[in-house]
Amino acid sequence: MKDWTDLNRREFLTALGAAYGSAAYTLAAPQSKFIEYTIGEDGAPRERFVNALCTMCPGGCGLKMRVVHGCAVGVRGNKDHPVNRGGLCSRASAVLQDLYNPDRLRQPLRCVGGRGSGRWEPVDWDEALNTVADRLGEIRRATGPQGLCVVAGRDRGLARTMWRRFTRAYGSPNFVDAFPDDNLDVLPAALATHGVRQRFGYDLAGAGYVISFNSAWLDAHWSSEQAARAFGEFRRGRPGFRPKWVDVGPRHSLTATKSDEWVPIRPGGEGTLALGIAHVMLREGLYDRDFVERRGYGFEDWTDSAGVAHLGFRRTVLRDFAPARVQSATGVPEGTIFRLAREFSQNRPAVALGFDGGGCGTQATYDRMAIHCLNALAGSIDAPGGVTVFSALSLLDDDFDVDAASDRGLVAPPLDGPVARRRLRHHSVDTLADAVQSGRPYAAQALFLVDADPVFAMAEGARLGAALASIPFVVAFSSYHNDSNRHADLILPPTHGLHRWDFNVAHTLKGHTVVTVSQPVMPAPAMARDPYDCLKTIAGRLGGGIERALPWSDAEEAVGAVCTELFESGKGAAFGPANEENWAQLLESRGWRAPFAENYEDFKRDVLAGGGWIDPIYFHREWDRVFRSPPQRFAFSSAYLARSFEAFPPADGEGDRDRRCLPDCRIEKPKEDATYPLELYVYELPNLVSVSSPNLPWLNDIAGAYMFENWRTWVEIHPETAEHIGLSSQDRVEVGTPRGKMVLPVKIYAGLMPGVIAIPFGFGHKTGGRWCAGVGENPADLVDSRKDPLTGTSLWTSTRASVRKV
Amino acid sequence: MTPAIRTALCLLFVSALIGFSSLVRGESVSGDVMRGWRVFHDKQCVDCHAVWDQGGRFGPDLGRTRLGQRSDGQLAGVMWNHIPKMLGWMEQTGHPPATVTADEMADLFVLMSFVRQLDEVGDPRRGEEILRNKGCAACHATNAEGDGVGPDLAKWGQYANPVIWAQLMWEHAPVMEEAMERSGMSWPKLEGADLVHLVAYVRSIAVTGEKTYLRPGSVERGQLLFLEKKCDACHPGEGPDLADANLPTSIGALASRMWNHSPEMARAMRERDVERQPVGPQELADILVYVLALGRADRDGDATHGRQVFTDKGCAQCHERDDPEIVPSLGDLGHDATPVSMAAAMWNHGRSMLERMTEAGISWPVFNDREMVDLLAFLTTVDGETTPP
Repeated sequence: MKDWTDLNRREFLTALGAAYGSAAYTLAAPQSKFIEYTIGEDGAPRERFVNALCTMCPGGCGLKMRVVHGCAVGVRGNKDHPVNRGGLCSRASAVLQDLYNPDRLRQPLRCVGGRGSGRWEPVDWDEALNTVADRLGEIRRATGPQGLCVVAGRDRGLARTMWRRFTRAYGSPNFVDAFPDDNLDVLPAALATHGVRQRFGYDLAGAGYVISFNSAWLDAHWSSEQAARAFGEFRRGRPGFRPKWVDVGPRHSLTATKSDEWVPIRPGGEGTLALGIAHVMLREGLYDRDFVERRGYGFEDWTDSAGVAHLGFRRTVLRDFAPARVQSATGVPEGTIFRLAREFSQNRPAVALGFDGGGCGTQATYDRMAIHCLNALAGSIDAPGGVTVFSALSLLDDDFDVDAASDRGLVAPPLDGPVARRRLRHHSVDTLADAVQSGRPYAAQALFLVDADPVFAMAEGARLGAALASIPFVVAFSSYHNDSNRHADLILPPTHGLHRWDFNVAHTLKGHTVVTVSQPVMPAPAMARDPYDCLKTIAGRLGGGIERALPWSDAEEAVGAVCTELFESGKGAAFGPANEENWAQLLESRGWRAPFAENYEDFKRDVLAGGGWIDPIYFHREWDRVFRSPPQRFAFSSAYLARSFEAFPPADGEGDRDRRCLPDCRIEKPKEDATYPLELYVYELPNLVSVSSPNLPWLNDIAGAYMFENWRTWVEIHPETAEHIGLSSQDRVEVGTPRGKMVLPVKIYAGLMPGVIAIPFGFGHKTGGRWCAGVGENPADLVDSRKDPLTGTSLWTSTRASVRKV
Repeated sequence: MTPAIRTALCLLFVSALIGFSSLVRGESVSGDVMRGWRVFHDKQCVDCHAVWDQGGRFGPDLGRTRLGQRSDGQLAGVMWNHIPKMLGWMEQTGHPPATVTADEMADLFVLMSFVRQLDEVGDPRRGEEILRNKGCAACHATNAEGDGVGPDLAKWGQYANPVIWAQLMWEHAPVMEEAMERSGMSWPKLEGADLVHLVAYVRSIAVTGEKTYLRPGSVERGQLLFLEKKCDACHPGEGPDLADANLPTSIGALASRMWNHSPEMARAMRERDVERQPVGPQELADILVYVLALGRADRDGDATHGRQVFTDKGCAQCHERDDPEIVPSLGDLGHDATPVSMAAAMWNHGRSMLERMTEAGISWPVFNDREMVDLLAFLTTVDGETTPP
């Protein structure tokens, strides 16, 4: 096997030096817009530190970039940023490799020789943007604006906001969120149980006990720096008190290694186990009666106003989820279930964590609902030390009128499927592939991939890739070649995040809203174009209401509008020393407000100097905010789902309507399967999860550090299984599933549920830069696509597999 | 000195305590609470002291401390008493002594006064109990649960500040009193943080919306409003003297006290033919802060007793020696004898003082509240003198 590591490091360093040198030469533009932090009072400002938003993952951390002679040469965490508090994860540490990456695209490319040929030619920006605008104009006139589909990936903040506005103004209902790393899959469960489409946070610093149901808390959390710090606070924040962390999962993950106890379980059994624990809590009266009675809905059986009797949560769980049955379905011993239930009940505030990471959909919506019901039973919903529900903060709202053509387009059915989109407001690229392939409800005329690579990242990616061939016009707005944009007609590369004005809305795990405001760390290379400028150019050519939807002259002005909205809200404080945030918290939590900045100019200056803004107040038990779905209670039986089923009846008939509104988890014994006797579990590599570019050699080097692996994909096999097949760690095996086969090196690993094999996800890009294309295999190609019954999203945890020594 | 002049001086002095410029014994001392907050962190006071749970645990939490209504002079005494302990802890934990200027100390004093008047964050569960136990639910529905004659309290969830509640209650007190009399109910009495807990509970059940906040009150504005709203017709005229009253230490508790006395106040006003003045929420916040400042004002110091203290506590052993190179003379001390300057001086020179006293075998003197105030009064009488009178 080729030794990628040494060779490419040298190549990289050479390229980095060249890029640095050329950047230093060309980027001598005036930098009056920067907030400067000069070291020392005398002499020229040769060294500066500029606050920036980290775009390497969706966590929303703040960076402080060291800039020397106009070039970014160092990175550290912004100590004043509430999300990372100066911390820096491995991915953020690699941001300079991303910035100066020799494989980063710097000018538009046009496909020659047919899509998928991999042959491209450079094209002028004006020509490329005119081509896009002209095609969009033709489509709008000929077939209607609904023919455009925008698949929004990694980009958040300004670019995503502008794409959303543009798509609406154009008149397309097809703005599809396709960023699995952002843990969007948790939203349907939140909607079903709370009626809010918001993620949850977990106030671990005050928690007394945690059961992590394969949460990937320290492996793949959507905000890894926060997760690590919260774990530290949970562990060591209260001297003399050591709370317990139990990790449940098919694999002894990084999170499990830091836990007090690891409970092996069959893949996909977490929801069933949660209901087994709930069974014990109900049977032994170990739940928070006050919360359940006053804030719960659908707990007991009830009769509706029409006199129809309905099944409640309690009876279902007591009837169907006895620990003995749960044991047979999950492999978790009955005694362990009883013990966990008692520990969970007796060490409040207790928290049950579902999967909180990105990508690799491991838990169905029903599983997530079941796990979250434990939080309700423990009385941990919106309680200190429990679950927080993030507040929505909408900036640069879609406050513009659309024209008649757009009005007609916006009421067309969305292409990503009526089921999930209408029932749970959930976007799904999986179902988008179906629509594109079938041409129903209408044919997609143009597809824009905005910083997205769903062909690589989705279980149904290969099918989507094939479907793209039937779309007449495909444009990718991405910085690298990847598995998706190889199917495009045009690639328009945006400038790097460190070259632009941007903002990002995130939350702390304690529920505080955080807006990072980012300014250019250094001028962009001459050939590069800011994504907002590109979109504004296209909108300008289309004219009318589309042009009016992007009223700001440039990205800086748009970010200024964000600052204005924040200032006018009258809330919160600019990032600064933690004491200023604490000041706002001290006062606002008591009903007082005395901001440090008294006028807009001071406010904007402070926000830019500090790197952003935080609303440090989180009032617990604001039930009207926490539960939005009538009757504004925690839905053990989902009233939201009931109404959805009423409005959009399931395709497979009525079935047991009550059961469909409850956490309808599987209680099945594993089937005997002679062809595929094993179960495949796919997990994400901690250092590659959610990363903005896979073409980063530093990260490939440490991708599987704790498994002593890197630069390849391997299959982990339990020692018993290996012995049974006669395998050793030097062997290679063919892993087969109903979906496909691949040959991988073997890693004997005792940290698995017997009968389970595990393959890491992260390598296996077929197209891309020199440090990722052809490195390893993509286990998505093996995943059998069982679908979440509520959202249609592919689940990665249900694949039967076989292993054969080669 | 006439009572009027004394009162005027007292009011001016109180202004300084709360953070807005004032004159103390003829010398201008200004302080700012937000600057104080920054100084508190920059000088690492926060490493040892928390403010309402934010900060270190070694020293007392300055928000929760039982300093209560102590005046600045008394506060200076408390600081003096704890200097050896503070210095010892700083040495143990490797905190270098940070110099604090008089202006910075003034800001810190303002901060300490301010945070003591804040209320704790309310507890919705306790609020619900209070609502039930005080009989509020008999008249007020909450989220349409109940059918009282009063307004549905859920509408008040946007009011994050207990003073807004107090203002609303104050405005409606006559109507409420009449309604309660008709139904034979007694006026509910609120204690301590009851009002704060009530606010927290109603916020938890209310329809979510933007919260209404208030600016921290201003003593200066409060003083003007106190006169404008004719509060002085009863206080300190024929009603209780607020400077002498045993007032609660927090704004929320003071608002509760005002509520409790509402019927009596209304009766007294009727008897004296004083018209009930409308008061806005921010105005009430200013008035309450002013009233709290009255309670924290330094009373007249007894210079004679202060002289005795000066002698008894051993101050004279060092400060009456004719050795100004080593220790400030009595005259120098008197030159700037304010609580703030005293606190700054003792903070900046505490370590050398402690060392000298230890060498000389003098134990660190401890002052009670009265003694420090009297000592300051005495020192002001020796301004510019080199020997005691």
